[in-house]
Amino acid sequence: MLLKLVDLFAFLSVILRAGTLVFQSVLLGGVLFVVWVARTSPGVPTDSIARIQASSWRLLRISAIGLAISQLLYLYVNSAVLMVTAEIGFDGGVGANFFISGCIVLTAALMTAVVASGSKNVAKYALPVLALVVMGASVMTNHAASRIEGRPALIVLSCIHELATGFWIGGLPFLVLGLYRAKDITTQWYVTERFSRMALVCVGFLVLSGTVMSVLYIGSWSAVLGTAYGVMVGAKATMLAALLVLGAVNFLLLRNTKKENALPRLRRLIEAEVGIGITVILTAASLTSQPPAVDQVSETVTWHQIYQRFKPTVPRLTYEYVAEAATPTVGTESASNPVTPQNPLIYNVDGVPLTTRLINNSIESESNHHWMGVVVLAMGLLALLARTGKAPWAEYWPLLLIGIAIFIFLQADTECWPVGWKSFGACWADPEVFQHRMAALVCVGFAIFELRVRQQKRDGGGMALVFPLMCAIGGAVLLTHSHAITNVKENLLVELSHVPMGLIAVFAGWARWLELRLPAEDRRIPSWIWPFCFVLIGAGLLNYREM
Amino acid sequence: MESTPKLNSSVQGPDIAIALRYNVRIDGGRSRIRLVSPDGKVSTLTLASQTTPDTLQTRATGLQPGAYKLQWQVLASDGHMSRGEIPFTVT
Repeated sequence: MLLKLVDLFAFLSVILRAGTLVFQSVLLGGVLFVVWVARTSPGVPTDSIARIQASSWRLLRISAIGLAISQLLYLYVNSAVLMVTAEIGFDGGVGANFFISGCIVLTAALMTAVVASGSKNVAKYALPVLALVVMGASVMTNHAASRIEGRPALIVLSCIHELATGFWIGGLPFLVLGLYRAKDITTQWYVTERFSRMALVCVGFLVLSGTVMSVLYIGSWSAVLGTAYGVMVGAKATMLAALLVLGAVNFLLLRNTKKENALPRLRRLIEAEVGIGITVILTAASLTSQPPAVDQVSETVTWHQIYQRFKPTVPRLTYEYVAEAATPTVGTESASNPVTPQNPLIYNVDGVPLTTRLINNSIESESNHHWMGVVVLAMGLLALLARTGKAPWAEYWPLLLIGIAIFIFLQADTECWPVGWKSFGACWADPEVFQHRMAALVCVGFAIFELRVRQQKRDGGGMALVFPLMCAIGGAVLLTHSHAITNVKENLLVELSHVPMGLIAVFAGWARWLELRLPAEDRRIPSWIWPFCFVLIGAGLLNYREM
Repeated sequence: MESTPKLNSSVQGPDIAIALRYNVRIDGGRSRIRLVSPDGKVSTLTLASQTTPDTLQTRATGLQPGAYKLQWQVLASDGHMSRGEIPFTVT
């Protein structure tokens, strides 16, 4: 029970760490934006700049308060875990490095909120100092701080990486807000150009520091796919590549297109950059909870093991369970002996014995994933068909979400009515059943909702944006998680299937967002991307395996 | 991570030296090593002062022959907590 609670708190710790990193980046980006980007200049309307500055100061205060709250909660959760597991009192936890650095970040964040509310002349000098304090204290809880070898160099690289991330990705929400607040093209162009120049420099530092740290922390090509750390770095790099593509389009628009044509497109592209950028930071939070790959040499999954797990096989669409003491035909090792709780002769890649119960759990999980794969693949194919314009009936693809709801209702809780012995009413008392039924209801609601959106052909309305946001958030959740410290190889193999699906869901969400938000003549490419992403997710689910 | 005694090894009792070496700097004051005896009794071992930032050392005395487990939990300098087990046998 205690260990379960500790695991739950460890997961909470990653979520709060993610919140801390997001707010920290927005704070750093905000400080640079108010101090350097959104400055008055001859030829730029003063009232327009003033509007940008007012909204930027407000967002900066919000990010500072958000950082303070998430840091406070992070301190509470981490201290509670330490106090319970190490059996020490509160005074014993106070001197820990993470507690000291957390208190520094908390104080600096609160001071930032206060300073950003007062005299702007004082703030312009005080804020850069406070931002550096936040960043310096944050690096104390980075992998670099605890390394035995190369510690000073890694700390410097981490500082550069976090600063560049904050200035660029953290500054993007301020740019989006600024472009909305400035009513004239001259100001919008001025702010975008200044930000673009700064972003270009940041990208250079980000890529350089990230590459060197990846080499030092991953250590070998085999660890890129063979460890959770390597996989998460790969996910970050993939999203960074997508950001660079969007950035390159922005860059070309700024230089080769008329201002009045470029700016509407820029705004929409930057919105997608903000979303993907925040997902990168969330992934980084997950990465910091994971030991670097160089520390897990003996727990690296081999290429052969990866191939064995992911080689294409026929999907399991039936629920053929293994009988107690029967001879199973599945498993990664010898399958020639009876499998019982007393005689578990099949082992997973970590050498953990698989009992009949564990095998049957995996069979059920695989079958569930494969059925979901069928539905999602069908959704993607129908959406592609609808995109061709030759099959208007295919626009009804959201109805398949109701199929998912029915599946959850029937299959998630097989002990309940109508397939099980428990009555419909009695099952509501079980929290797990309650969650499943809520999920089924959400699917039904979402199907009706998205169908109405598509029938009404609403392009940019708020309702239409719910679907892409749900996709992007779902993908981000798959990429933001804690990592188990036991069964490391088995968990990595599960992660290897989930991370690509998370990435594709993020891209699907933001492609659909761009389809809805870009001017009509620019929608062609994103409108093909997201249905194709659905096809890929469906295919990935169909090949999902746990054994 | 390296350990004395090694994972699933046999050592000569009744007194044994225990040393755990990690890849990162460890906060020794907030880390714990517990010994699980063959009868399931758990005792927290007193850690010696750290000689290097990546090691924890202690001793267990008066051990009877049987299967034991070391349960460790460490707090790294960067705030990350990890834990694990080292089963070994005393002969």
